[in-house]
Amino acid sequence: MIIKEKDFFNFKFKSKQFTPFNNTICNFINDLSKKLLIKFDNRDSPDIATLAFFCRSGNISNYKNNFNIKKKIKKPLGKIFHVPPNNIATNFAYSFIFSLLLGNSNIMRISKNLLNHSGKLVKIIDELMKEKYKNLYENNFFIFYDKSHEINLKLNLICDGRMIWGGNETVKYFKTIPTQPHTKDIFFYDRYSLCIIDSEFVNKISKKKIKIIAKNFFNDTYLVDQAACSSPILINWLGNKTNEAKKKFWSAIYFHLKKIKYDKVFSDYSAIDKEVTSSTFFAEKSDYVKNYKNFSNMINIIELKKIPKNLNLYKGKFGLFFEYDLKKLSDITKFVDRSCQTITYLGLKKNELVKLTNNRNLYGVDRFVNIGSSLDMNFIWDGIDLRDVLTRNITID
Amino acid sequence: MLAKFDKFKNLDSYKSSKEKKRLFFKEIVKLNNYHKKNSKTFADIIKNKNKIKIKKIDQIPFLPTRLFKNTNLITTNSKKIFKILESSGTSGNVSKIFLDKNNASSQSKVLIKIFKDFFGINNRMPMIIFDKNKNKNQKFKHSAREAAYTGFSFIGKEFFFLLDNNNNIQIEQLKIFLKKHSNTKIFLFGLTSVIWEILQKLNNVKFNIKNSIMIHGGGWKKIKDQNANKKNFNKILKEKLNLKNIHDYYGMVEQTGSIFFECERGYFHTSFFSDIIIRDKIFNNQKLKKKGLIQIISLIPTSYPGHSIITEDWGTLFGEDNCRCGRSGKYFKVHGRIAKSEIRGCGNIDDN
Repeated sequence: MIIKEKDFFNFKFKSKQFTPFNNTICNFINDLSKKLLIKFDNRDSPDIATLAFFCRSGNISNYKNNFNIKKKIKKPLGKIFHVPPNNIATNFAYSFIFSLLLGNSNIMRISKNLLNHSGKLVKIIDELMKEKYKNLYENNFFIFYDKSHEINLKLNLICDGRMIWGGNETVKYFKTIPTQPHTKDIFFYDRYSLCIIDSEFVNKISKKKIKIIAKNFFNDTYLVDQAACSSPILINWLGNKTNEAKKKFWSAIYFHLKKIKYDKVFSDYSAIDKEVTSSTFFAEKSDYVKNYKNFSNMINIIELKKIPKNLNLYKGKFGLFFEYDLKKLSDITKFVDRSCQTITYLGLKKNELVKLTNNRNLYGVDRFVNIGSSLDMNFIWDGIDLRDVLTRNITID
Repeated sequence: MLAKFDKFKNLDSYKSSKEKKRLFFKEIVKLNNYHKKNSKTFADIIKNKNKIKIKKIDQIPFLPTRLFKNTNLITTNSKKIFKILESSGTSGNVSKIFLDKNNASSQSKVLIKIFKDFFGINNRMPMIIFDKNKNKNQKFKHSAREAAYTGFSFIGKEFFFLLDNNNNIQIEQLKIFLKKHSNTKIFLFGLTSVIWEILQKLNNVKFNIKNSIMIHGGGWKKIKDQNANKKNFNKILKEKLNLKNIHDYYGMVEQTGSIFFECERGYFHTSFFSDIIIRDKIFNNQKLKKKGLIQIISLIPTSYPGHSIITEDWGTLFGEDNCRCGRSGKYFKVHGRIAKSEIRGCGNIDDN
């Protein structure tokens, strides 16, 4: 149900919960998947297509079956208050759907400055509930407001759980707002991500294959202006003949950008923004710079001799990347800290990664995915399994 | 400036020649080398970006304006810094410009010179400042706004601040001032947005200062949502003050002094002391009459490396040395701040 800011204080929030993966909820999510495919054009909105793909019935029943195998008595946490980020169009929908599937009722803070995309998405979700799923409609709320301390105060006192998506400033702010003693918090703070590529793998693969990889890399980065927490800021190269591999890789990216006419659409603002970030880095960390490469202000690369602390303070956007040659995979433990979220990889074997995670010095990293999957959402995010924290277990001895 | 200002004292800022262009280029290269030698930070930045030898004016490296907000850039002995200019940043971050006496003095000398050369006015005029008098306790730090009217005060005399300390319009004092100077050319100065807001409050008044001159600058951004534009602005001034001689200027705190005055044809002009280059998003030279990013170049900055700057403003170059107003130099228009593209990301931009 959509609630306007002016009606907020007179509104009584119902909160009826369901059992996790209850049929009504699963049917709603399946219906939503179909609706999204009808209402959005796949090619224009790959992020919506991904969301619809997540919501398809086969995927949801898989999750449902896995969930029930555990044979525990699970109840939803209750009423969940969500503060999703404004600027990734589909993020609020994932936050909502994960929590809803686990049986919770939800109150969503929706910013008034939405991307067109998400405004349409809220409407579709709301209308579908209103038409066919009255029960869900009466227990799930989308409130349109921005900076209202009063509304935040009230909502934080009535919820059983909070899902607060960063920036760090938002997290800090909500940590100061009082909640009930039992309220459970999930905070997603500012993260950064990396990419690791095996040069020999790149040197070996076919032209056709590298084209697909370029497209996947684009979806991880340029598609969201490289501003998602899971978009890589630093590209690490492994193996010998890295120069040959870099050339092949970046040329493929360049051709992909040309092919989709990115050179026509990228903004003057993004060119200036990259100029500011790179100049700031050169001013403050010049000892770390090996070389700077600029391909028509579409791809900007700062090659590093060594990795400075807090590289994430110089987080590039719009296609500004750091680049570094690793001697061996375990070298990343020297600079990866707790804020490192995702490592996208290419040409590495799973057992190498398992070995890496067993390294005691690896302090960060929550997730390894292939290039192209960095934006895929899952019940496990930032190292937290939402199926555990958004439910409670009842034991009977 | 490095080359003593006196060297240029007698040349006309708005009459160009091949020799003057060569001289400008020689001086700007010298200045660039000076900054490279005197600031490791500046040298570090440009060594990564500009790997070719400078042969033409458009090869002079540039810094982005925002860099002055997060980095302190100084190329004079830091003990010599006697003044810091601060931009009026709305986002909390302000640009800091470090001035030594030399640099500050060339700022005002050049400003007076180009004013005289541009308008052909040689005498000081009674001056009305559309602002309040500055806080005298603050001697070291100066806002860009104060720096602007202080710079122009060398063209005026018998100063009258139109606002009192509580920002009220001193209308009675204004009447007295105008009566006293009823047959003289008066110089009116202020920020565009401040003047606009004062004009909105000036109800039921009509003055006739037909022969006076107004200079204003700072842009339209703050008052855009009030339907403010050049046409409306000039119309109100005509109605309320019978003022017609109104000139906008384009300039920024990073290059105080070598500003660009707007001519009678509505174009901003470069002078002998300045240049502009319009660039596309790849930073190549933009074609004539096409919109692009404005790079500004100035001979003045000697205590900080602000001699060549890529701004976040859009502009269009219309030609060089053939403006119908008769003055030479490049002439151009400014279209305001570049559109901030939607930045997506996991973080909320508006917190709480």
